[in-house]
Amino acid sequence: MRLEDEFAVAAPIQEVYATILDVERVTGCVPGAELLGNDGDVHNVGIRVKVGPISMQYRGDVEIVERDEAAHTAKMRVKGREVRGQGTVEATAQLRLSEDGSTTRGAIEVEVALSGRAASMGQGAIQDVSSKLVGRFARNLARMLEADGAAAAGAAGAAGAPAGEPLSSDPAAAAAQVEREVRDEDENAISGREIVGAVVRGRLSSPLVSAGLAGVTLGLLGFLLGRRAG
Amino acid sequence: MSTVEKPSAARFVGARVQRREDPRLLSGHGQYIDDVRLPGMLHATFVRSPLARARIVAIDLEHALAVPGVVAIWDGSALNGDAATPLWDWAGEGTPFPEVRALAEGDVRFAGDPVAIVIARDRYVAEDAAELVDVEYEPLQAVVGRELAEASTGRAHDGIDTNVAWSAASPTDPALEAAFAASAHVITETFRQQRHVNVPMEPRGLVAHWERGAEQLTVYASSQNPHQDREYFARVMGLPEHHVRVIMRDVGGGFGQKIFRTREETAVALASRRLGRPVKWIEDRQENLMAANHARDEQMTLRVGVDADGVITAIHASHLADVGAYPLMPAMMPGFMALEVLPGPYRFARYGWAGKSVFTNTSGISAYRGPWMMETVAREIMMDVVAREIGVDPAEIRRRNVIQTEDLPYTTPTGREYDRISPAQTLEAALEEIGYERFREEQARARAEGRYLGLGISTYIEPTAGAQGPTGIEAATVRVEPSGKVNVLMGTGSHGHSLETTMVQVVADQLGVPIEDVRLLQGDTAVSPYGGGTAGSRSAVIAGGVARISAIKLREKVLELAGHLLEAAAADLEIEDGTITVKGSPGSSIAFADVARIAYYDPSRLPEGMEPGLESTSRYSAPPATYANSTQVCTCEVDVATGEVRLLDYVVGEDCGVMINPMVVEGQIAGGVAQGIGGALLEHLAYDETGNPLAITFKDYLLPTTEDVPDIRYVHVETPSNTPGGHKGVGEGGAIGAPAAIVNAVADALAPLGVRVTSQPLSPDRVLAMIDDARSA
Repeated sequence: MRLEDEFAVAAPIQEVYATILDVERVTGCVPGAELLGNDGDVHNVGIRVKVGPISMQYRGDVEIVERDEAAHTAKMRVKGREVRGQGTVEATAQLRLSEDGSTTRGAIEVEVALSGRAASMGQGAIQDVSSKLVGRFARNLARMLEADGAAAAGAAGAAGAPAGEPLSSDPAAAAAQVEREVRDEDENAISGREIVGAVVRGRLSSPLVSAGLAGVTLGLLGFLLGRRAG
Repeated sequence: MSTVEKPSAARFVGARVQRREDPRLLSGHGQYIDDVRLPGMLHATFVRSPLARARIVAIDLEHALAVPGVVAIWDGSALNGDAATPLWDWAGEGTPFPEVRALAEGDVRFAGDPVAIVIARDRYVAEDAAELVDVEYEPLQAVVGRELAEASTGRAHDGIDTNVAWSAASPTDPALEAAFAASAHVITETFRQQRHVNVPMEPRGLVAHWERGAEQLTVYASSQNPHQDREYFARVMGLPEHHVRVIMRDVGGGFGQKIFRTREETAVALASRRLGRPVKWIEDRQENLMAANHARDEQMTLRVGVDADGVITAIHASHLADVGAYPLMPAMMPGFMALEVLPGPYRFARYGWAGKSVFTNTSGISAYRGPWMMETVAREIMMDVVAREIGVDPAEIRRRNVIQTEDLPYTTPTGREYDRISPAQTLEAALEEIGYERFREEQARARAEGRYLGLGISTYIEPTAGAQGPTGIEAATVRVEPSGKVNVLMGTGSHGHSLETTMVQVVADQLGVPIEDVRLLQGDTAVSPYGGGTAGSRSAVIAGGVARISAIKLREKVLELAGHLLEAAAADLEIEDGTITVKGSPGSSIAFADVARIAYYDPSRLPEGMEPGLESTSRYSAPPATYANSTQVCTCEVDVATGEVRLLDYVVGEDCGVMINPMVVEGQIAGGVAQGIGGALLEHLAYDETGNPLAITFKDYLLPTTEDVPDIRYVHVETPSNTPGGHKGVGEGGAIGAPAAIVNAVADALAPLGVRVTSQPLSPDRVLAMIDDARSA
């Protein structure tokens, strides 16, 4: 299954790039994600995905297979499996950053191979939620970058800060805060409406249009963690 | 017709006798597998492969075994050696078959393949532990898709260097080619049928109890076939057959999925023997959709030669079936049966065929209510394609080709011999009941208003009661107990189709006793004589036949004894409502119960040489097949804006011979039609290209609801068969005929738009896509 998505962050490309490479921080921007350990370019990660009543926990390794800092591209491979259960995920994620005035645009392509419950049951929901996940990641990333900017300037409340509780000026605390919010949001938002929509559509459409939410999240995470510059 | 007939005391056969099993089932007192609770019983669950095809690199049980309450976990290498390998084998010359084992060993071959069995004190613990079993897989190329399997570079099975499981063709026939060459029209079309699941309301499950002292295995099975189960467990577990007892109580449907016991059920029995304790396994719905056997998944290409009058002069059928990884029937079965039955109700003089089955890394195929029914799907949709192509009315083209009474006896090109059938009559009866001409007028008016109504016809002959090998005979012990109450012991395996009512109707008629005084005991190999269970619409013909034979034999003894007691000739006696009377002398009578009591307790009053007691056992070997015939006609409206298909009217004209109980007959048809509606409009067990099943909940595997199933009207034609009682089978016909009727109705509705319908399910998105395709063509 191949998924493509885009995001935009109002920050210079080098700054976005550098931030994304900071695994400890960027992990918090990915809904439900957690960094468990590093071994060079291989990162051991965990992720929790809760879609309606179905909760899945994955653990796996993300490995950087290609990196080109000048071109702002990278490619990484993810291999994981359910912590409780037999499902597996393998993903290859490719990211390309580009400059558009003061905005940095990111294009993500994820090729995901899923098995188990996520492969069989994530269908329907995935189409609705994957873009939402990417959007949420981008928003979290923007908030973190803008908090960085504010911290660097020694002043709170930078112009253009997104709505929501002001982030801590301490980057580590801000990251933890974002992570908390993201998790709360994740567990609440990816629940009711999307699932109802999927059920209704399920009676009207062929089950062949399918995908798995967890795999996309992992693929996204894989891409992001893979950005770390060694 | 659906008139309510009140049974007279003397004649229950033919009456709409209320189902004897319903008070129990409808009040929640049915005894299904999950109702079986034995002291010390443990619970099983399975660790299943998430991948369609992979090497098993390592299995780590450490964390799972540490869960409190876990009793044992075994993988294939630990458990399979307890059973014979293979568990079943349908290999033959040019037809390879995989080595079937209880659990996967070394590699996995479909998503859902059982890899390990977990036994624990309850199901919760078992499930928790199963999640912690750590299996490392090395993915391999999966073979998925019936049209891709043969050319795939992957192999569905280790040790079988081809994915072709069976391939055969009729001999080259120059006369067939000559007939095609002489035809006014030659039309070719391919019809596809998606993968279905039988979806019994009660999934698979069993309780196995190995009793160490008695060295006996008792199995409570959710089955169709307890005696064949007994033979199976004895064989694969190396037990003498008389040390195995199979008990089958209420069964929540099977429809073919439960004819044979499966790998998981075998593993549970092996686990019970190892532990010396009862072990229960109840399959959950996800497992049933993913790993219980599937059905259909096939296609058929028909090439038809037609003369200028619409008479079909030549036909060639080519069938391709995906039988999955571990089919529960020989790989040739879906194709060979479909091809062999295809000529159906028509006079097809020249016929040729070719068939192929392929293994894939998907759940294996099993029988499902008319497992050969692709022949009706393809042939009946093709009849409409031909009718449209040459400009003949679809009812009329069937009239021109259908076998008429004066054609009988008739032998099909494949050697089936029809004698007592009435396909022309059921066709006409169904057309008349639905109001064919009137509908055509309504359809024309609707089209003028921009509404799309359609009518579809499906005509077929159903081979029922196929009698051979283990299913060739049926037995009935009819026993009048000392109180005069009657037990009927049979080897039938009712999984919901009313045998407790119909067999009792047959016996009560012959013995002349109230129906309440007769009871059927079935499904326990320790109680009932050997029987072939239920499959292939065999119960009415073979079981009904032998119940009648055995009851008649016992009636003769009852009358002989009563005549001796009344000092009258047996021929002068009649039995009605439990009393035996000398004809014409109402004062000279004896109660049936008194005769019974004397037969057991007062042997000195028996005629010289008569054995005490009142019991008769008979066995009946039926003809190879008994033919029923039917036409289904339905009408529908298609909403071309939303793609929704709404069935408006539904008529089934059926000839299943002498009906034991018209209500039961109609119930059988209705259930089958509902399943056919599901197949035509909703159901699809899809796989993605890597072999992930995509419909393992009812959110994705869509079953018909009361919203989708219209009221069905029935027209009965009764042409008695030449078997005892004159019955024919009726279990599968509803499901056989419905999909083609519905597809034809949709195609008829959309014909003005140039839509051609050749596959299912006709879900709204597919209907809209077909309309778009036709518009852009």
